[in-house]
Amino acid sequence: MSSLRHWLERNERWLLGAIMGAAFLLFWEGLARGWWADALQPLIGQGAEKLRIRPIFLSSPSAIAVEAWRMYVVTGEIWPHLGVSAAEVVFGLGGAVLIGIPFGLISGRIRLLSHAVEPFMTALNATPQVAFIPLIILWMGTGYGTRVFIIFLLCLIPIFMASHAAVKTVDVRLLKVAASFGASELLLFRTIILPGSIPFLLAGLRLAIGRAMIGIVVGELYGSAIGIGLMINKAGSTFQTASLFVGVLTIVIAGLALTEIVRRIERRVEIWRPEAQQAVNS
Amino acid sequence: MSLALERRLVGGGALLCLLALWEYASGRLVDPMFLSSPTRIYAAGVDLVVTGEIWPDLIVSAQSFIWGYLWAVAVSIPLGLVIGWNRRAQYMIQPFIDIMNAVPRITFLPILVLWFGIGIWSKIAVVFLGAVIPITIATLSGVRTNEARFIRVARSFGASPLKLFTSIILPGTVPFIFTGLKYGAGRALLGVVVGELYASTAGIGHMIADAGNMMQTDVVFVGVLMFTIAGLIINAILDRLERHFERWRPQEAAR
Amino acid sequence: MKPSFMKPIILALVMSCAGAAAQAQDLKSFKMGISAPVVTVLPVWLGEAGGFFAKQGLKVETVSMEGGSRGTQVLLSGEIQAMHVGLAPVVQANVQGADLRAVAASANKMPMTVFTAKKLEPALPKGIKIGISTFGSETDIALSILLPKLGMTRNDVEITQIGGTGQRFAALVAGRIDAAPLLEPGVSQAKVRGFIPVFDLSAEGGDWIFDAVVMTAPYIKANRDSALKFTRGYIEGARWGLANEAELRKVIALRFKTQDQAVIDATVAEFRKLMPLDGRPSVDGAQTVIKELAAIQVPVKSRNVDDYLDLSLIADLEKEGFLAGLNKTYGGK
Repeated sequence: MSSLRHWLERNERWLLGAIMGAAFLLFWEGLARGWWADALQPLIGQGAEKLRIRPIFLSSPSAIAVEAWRMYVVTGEIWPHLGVSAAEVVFGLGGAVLIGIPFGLISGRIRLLSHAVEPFMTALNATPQVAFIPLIILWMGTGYGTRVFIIFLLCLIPIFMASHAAVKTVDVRLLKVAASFGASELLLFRTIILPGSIPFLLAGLRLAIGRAMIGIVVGELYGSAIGIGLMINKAGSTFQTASLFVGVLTIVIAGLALTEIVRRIERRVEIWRPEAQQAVNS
Repeated sequence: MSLALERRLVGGGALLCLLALWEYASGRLVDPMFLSSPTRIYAAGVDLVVTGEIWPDLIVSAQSFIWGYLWAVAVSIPLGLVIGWNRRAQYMIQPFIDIMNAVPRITFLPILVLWFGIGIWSKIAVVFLGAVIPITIATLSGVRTNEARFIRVARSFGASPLKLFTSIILPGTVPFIFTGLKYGAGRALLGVVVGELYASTAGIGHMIADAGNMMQTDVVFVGVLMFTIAGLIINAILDRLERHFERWRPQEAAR
Repeated sequence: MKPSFMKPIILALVMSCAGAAAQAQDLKSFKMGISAPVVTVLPVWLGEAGGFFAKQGLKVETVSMEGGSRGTQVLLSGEIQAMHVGLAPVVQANVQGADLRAVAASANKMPMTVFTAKKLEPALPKGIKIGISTFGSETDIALSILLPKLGMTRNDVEITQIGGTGQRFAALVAGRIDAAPLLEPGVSQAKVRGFIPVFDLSAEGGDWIFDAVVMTAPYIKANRDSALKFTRGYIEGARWGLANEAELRKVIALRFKTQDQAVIDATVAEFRKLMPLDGRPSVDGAQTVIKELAAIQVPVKSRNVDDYLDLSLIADLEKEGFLAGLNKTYGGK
């Protein structure tokens, strides 16, 4: 008896998560199949019909699972889409990291430059950037490069802002001490600024991953080649809701997996703050 | 020269340079149909205000933003506190929050229209969905990063959970909540655009889409600019509120 | 929450609700979705401008949907009573389990002309980049009709999604695509720019239900009276516009936000060319849509046009003498 209890306690995390997940899927399936509408009909009358949702709007977990099986295993038609979009993210996000981090760090370090960039950053950050996508298409066309560029742009802002802000949080005293011992600017960067910035850079990277996923969907609204975003759009305009959800879930899972990787790295880096989580949880 | 003055001069100068470059390029290097120009955008903006054409759109967008955002704040801060504080609640709810955070909101639009209609309520729901997730996430991570030392000390002095919550957890979480509020405001504004692209009769997002169809690039920019300005104003308000809350907290060492 | 801050907003909300309620008192509200402001939506605007919906006891409100397929979903949700959309999305939605019917049409031809930015030899060479709105849309299908006539298949050209007719025109100007099918007012703008019209689909493409008033079958059944009233106002609006060019021009200038007389002239001409006098959707056109959709791998189950059209409303209007009355009042074209 006690061993069961022990087991339950040890696996509480995923058990509770799985129970909630199953309940949610059941609820969803019930919406699509009209279980809840039928059950509540005697109680609340016609209002219950709001809980009957036709597959064309929301599909259902079972239909999505069947469609996913078909697209991934039976026909395998989703793989080329996946490959193309993955490459876009690699290039776009990679470019944003390669350019955003150095420029962000430098602009954060040099006061005049920092003053010059800050208004743009604040304004750009407050602007719905997706509204510019039609204009980008006009400037650059609808080729593969444009899609990479859209992801690059969407990712660049959080990464740049995080690096810019990171430099400002470095303890000034440390810099002063090091400088008074004659450390060069390069040495300061390598030994104090960069290590101190890493948690911020990772947080920026995490935001950027989310925006890269949005970039796949909005960037592939246009163009001709293949890609997950394009597949989602096409499924949406031809009312194939199950395929649409397979595409969306693929993007969601990819986004979660990438975010989880960054989180793991973050946890490693944040060893200096080991106690917080335990204390709250205990 | 004071630092604040320098900051304004350099920042303003850079901004002016860009505007001048834009004005020059438009019509010479680039067709104004694609890029418009600062003077054209200004003229279009003045025209929209003088004829009064913009007000109905502005009011509709402001309504959906304000209601959606307030609802999101009212729901997400308590939710974040509970999830951050109670381990079991966290295990049950956090997976959903992570997934919702990763799903593009446009996916939910058909179902929101089905449940909330094509009136203002579906737009409020889109704004709400955009803001509720980041604020919840920020709040709960705020609770969890509270200094464990303080919690132990308070516990060893026999503080009740309620006391612990109000005197240590909540104050320690405030900066995180504000970060979430600011990020959430951005997402909520984007929600106004997204919500109004779909089944709308009015609103700034509607105005942008309409102008885009007619290739009135200057009006598109006016619309986008309205969002930028709204974002900046909201950020400034939140900054001020945050400073108000921060005043009684002990200042951190070197900034 | 600060009361001083919230007060004006609450006030504004209350007032907007009260205003709407007062107006809707004697007229029945009828919401009509449109995918984009184009020439084929004119009958709705004309019916409103001429007061023909009010005459029927309806207050018609147009709702922008940004795309026909999204609008079709909203129509299925019951939030709007009708949607202005082509027959292709109707067939595709019905394939996925919807039950939509086109009841009246404003265009039984494809009012599109394919333009190229430069003169090319041949007019549309292989390997060319052609812009469409989205895959599966009318512009996409237009290419499926056009390309075989030129001895090509879809694999011989590069088809790319650009967006609505405005965006396609702009992409042509910017040189991002080589060719695109355009609609008015894009057609006249393209002519002004000196672009080359290579293929006029309305003249050479055969019948095709390009834009129609679509309702759900259950709605028509349960609210036949409202559906009839709307159709009357819609057709009378079109006839009134056709007979009163000054009014037609006014509506076009207002809705297209233009004072450009060339654009207005072209739109008037296009409307005259397209609008069927009795608003009847073409059965031949429906068959072409079904056939061409099957050709681009849409699994169309039923080839029966009655699963996509409901001609009984127009038939009722004919029976009751409404259409003959219009002919008397407004004459021919």
